[in-house]
Amino acid sequence: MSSANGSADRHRGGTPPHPNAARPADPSATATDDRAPATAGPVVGTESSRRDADARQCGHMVDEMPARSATGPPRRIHLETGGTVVDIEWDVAPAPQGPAPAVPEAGGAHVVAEASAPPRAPEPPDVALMVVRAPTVGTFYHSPDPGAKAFVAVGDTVRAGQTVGILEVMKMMTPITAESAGRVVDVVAPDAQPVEFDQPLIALEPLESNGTG
Amino acid sequence: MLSTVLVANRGEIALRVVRACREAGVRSVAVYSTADRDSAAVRFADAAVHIGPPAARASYLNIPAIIEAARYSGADAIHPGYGFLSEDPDFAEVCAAHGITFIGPPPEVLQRLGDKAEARAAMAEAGLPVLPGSMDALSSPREAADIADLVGYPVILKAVAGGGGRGMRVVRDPEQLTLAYNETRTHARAVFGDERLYLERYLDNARHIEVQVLCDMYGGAVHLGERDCSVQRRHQKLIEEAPAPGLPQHVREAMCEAALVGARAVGYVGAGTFEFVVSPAHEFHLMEVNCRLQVEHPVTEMTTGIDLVHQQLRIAGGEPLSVRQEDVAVRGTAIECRVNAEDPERDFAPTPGKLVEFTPPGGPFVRVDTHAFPGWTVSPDYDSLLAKTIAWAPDREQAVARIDRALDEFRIEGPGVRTTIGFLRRTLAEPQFLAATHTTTLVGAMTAPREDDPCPHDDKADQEPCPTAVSALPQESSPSPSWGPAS
Repeated sequence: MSSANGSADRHRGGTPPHPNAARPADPSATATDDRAPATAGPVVGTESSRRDADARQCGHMVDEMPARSATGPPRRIHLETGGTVVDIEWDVAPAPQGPAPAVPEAGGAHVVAEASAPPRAPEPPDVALMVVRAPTVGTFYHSPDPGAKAFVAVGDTVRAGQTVGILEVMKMMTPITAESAGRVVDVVAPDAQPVEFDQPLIALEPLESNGTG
Repeated sequence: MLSTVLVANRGEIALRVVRACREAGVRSVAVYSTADRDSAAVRFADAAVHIGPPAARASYLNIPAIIEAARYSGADAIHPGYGFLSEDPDFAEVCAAHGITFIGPPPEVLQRLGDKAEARAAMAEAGLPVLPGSMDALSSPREAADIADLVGYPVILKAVAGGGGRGMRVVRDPEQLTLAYNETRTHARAVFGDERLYLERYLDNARHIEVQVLCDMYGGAVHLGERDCSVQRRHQKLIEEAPAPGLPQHVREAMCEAALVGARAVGYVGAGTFEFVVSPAHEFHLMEVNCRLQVEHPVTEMTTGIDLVHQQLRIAGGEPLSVRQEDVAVRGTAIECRVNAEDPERDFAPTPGKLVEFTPPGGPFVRVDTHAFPGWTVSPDYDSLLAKTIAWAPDREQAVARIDRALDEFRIEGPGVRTTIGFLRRTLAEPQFLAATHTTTLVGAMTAPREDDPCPHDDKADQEPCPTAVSALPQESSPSPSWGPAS
């Protein structure tokens, strides 16, 4: 779906266009994205999903998941158009966590959370992920320069204040830093793509002060 | 015509612009702060971008965030609404530098008319009558006193970077002038980031009547008649109507013509409003020029049948005016009442909170411009305007009955939430208002301080809110010059 050609998105006097998950400025993004949650973040900023308040509500919840989920970030998100289907997959830890949480049904949307194998080692139930979020609207870069090595990769340990990315706002580059020490579990936002305020960028597992985790 | 318009505003005016875009077949992009995530404009726009936290400085006043949002969403134009960045020449310049059409006058016009002292001088130079007073910003209390002695008391001190009724102080007693000068300067520095003041003769018992103009890029200019905005509390409008009742036709024509002369003289483009103060003897003086769409634009739309926002989009898209002066006819009377989330019993203190019930009126020739809905939370971060209720009728008497009926029908409830509906209806019933003999003193007289008032000033209604009062208006807390409805 293209955003550049405004007239292609609009139906005049007919049925409204179907919501879809593609980011307005990124025609190559697809509705199914195994990189998961943050690319579903743009559901909020998506083209015609404006007209589907329920899909947006789901989008909000999906946005919040990395921070709230005790089972880790979703492994896969699938968002369909027309009738609005949202599938969310988690790697589910066995009990005591129980079945993966389901997003409450909203309007015409139904959400299915599926368990997928193999489960990872169980997380302590009270560990919440730290999510580094965009402090403002801009373009998020994984590396200091085009072609350079990325600041962080999944599995890296970062210390408090360490730069994990760069946000470009009107030609000014702002370092994005981790608030506290952690281990990178997901680089959520794609490289060199526009991000909204508060959009999840990097998901970190906090490090215990005794060094484990 | 424009392709994609980003609406750099919030609340009811953002929805207003989105609606006009829809009708014109233009793609709309809403920007929102976290507090406005569920707002009507965000839901109805074709796309939306989350630009910042609730604080206006980090969101609706955040130029880089808004420009990035325009790039992100492919917007080729930005409509700034009213308040916020709508009259910020820097913002207009940044838009131009990024190839984005700013829907409003060119930066240099904004700069010139945004400096209220310079605007006065420019209009005087164009031949418009202005109130006696200083032609430049005042350089000292001494100069203020000299000019005040020359023009005669009472005088009003105004912030050069102010406007919209903010940053003003009436002085009746020469002994008070220096203190008032210093206090108003301090206030201006804090609120507008610019401490410069100018001074004018103050007319008691005057009417505030303004003229709406539309100008295209090709020198085409029309006026759409005038609005009477005399019902004000502390210089903030509460009730507006079109046309101005009881205004002799020759005065009306002279004022409208003066507005066109002024607009042409500065090369105005877009929708603009020329505000005049009119004495009981019908002498009119230019007070200021508002380079944006006004809050009260619906009363002009209802009496002329012209969609002002649509015209703004056309003009910004490079099209010539589709309306000729001979096509403009003002029919009937339209009255607008601003319903604010404020408690009239507690000196109009803002009452944020969640709306449990919100049922606007309907019926013939009733219009409600609002962003609110049941379940909407009125945020403490922004101004208290909840809904504009407008009624049209063939004559003023019927219009008053209709707007009163509409306000009676309006149901707004929420824990801790109060509205000014009751106060508005009281005002509509005031004999002076019904007789259309009221002036800007009306509301002040209705809300005259009681003996237990904690802020015993003379002419309290003319002054800024007492700093110790609980009723700190949210829009005063931002140091930016453009903030809140301000109209």
